[in-house]
Amino acid sequence: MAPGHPRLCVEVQDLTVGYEDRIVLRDVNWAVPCGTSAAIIGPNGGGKSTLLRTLIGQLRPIKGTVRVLGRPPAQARHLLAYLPQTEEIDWQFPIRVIDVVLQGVLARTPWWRPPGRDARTAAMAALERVRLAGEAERPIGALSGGQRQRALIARALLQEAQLILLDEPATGLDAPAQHELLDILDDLKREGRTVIATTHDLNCLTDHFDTVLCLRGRVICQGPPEEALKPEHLQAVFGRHVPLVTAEGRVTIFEHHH
Amino acid sequence: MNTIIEFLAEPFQYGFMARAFLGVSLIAVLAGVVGSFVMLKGLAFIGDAIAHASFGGLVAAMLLGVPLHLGALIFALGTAAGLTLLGRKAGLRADTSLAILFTGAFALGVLGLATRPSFTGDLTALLVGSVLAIQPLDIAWILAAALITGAVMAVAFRHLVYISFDPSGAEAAGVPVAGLQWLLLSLVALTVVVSLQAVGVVLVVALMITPAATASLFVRRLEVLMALAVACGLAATWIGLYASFYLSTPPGATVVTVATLQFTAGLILRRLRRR
Repeated sequence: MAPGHPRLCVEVQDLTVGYEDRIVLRDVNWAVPCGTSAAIIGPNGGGKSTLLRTLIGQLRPIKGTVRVLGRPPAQARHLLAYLPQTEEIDWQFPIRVIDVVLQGVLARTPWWRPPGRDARTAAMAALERVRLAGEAERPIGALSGGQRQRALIARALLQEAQLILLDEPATGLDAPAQHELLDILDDLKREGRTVIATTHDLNCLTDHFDTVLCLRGRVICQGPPEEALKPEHLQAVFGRHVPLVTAEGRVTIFEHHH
Repeated sequence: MNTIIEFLAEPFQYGFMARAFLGVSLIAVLAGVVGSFVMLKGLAFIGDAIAHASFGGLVAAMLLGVPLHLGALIFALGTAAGLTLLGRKAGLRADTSLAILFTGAFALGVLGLATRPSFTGDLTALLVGSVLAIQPLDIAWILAAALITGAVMAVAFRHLVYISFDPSGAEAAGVPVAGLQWLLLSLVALTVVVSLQAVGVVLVVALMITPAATASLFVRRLEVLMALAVACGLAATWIGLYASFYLSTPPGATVVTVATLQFTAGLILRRLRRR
């Protein structure tokens, strides 16, 4: 691949998608180069989760095309990991942290074969990476919100996922846990993985994401955070004025409710 | 000492009691394993509904003169498949699809029954169950179901855990979630159908849920929870059947009463331990 033309990990063209009874997103054109991070912002119902669910092949386009890692979504599954919104997961299910991480090898090992010593070693290494090695034997439900997200990231590492999609990973986390999570996402990107996350936290964007996509039923703005996060764009995305200051290329939002 | 042995051995002088002990013990093992998933995923109502749906199959089998288990099994598996399909394709809430399917199948059973009033007695026995009338053929069915369930668990246990814990994440990673959900419901259907003759529609749900719920009071790991659920189920079965033999109480209801008492004792014990 010639320099200056980065390979695209996500390529969306003229996408219209929705559910049986309603269209949620229209005419989306979007691309995410491999090894970069992208944030998707927008109001509730604006289409953030719908777009992610299209990328993992859970929803089929009504119109347009979606390519993930250069192929149709259904054929890219072994290379991507999806962390759904936290309430979609049954955290009270009685399994240990290590068992959750080991789920990362399930899709690529034969059904009858239990995870071997290699997989266990790799799982412990993945837990080490997300600073959860000491929690391996604890029930997943005993972990804090930030630790739970990190356990799922360890599972994605074990899966050797090239593309990691996170649906509102920071929601419900306190500030230190959010920063810890974002630092880990930065690490993933540095290793060459592609990270796409939906978020309500506009302040983390400039420091941690290469590009932003603003959705409200369609694309309102996209590009590097400092370009995309213009007051008029945010007004159009959230339907009201969002006070912000831009200083030294960093965008700070003063208050934000949704 | 001798009196204790006599006390314990006495029921086994009767063939029907020996078959009852064997049959219900096997059901307790099967129901403990399947029931752990059913209890954790809040599928208790589904077990009950599948049991009622299989009633339609029982009547159909009677009218057609084919083996009852077969009719019940086809209706139960059909309900399980219908649930999986309706949930995914029609976008209906799970309990809505369930209510439509099982009341429909149950109504078919009632309609079929009305054409042959003479069957009423037999069918009542199937709804309530008759532990003391378990036949070797029933035990063979239960054993087959237990072996099938064991084989499925040996192969797909970790997949079933994955889809129970995080269905969206599993689907995105390429795990066949819909197929596994259907498989789990089919195991529930199988458990219900082979247990019908012995313990009836209501009591089989109790044997799936109550021991698993008792176990869940004390353990936080699924493998251990299943083992403890099986142990509780077996204990309830044996205590219940001995009590029923010596006190002349209805055996199925006695077993379930013991299981319920176990759960109550578990609640109290846990509270005491926390102090």
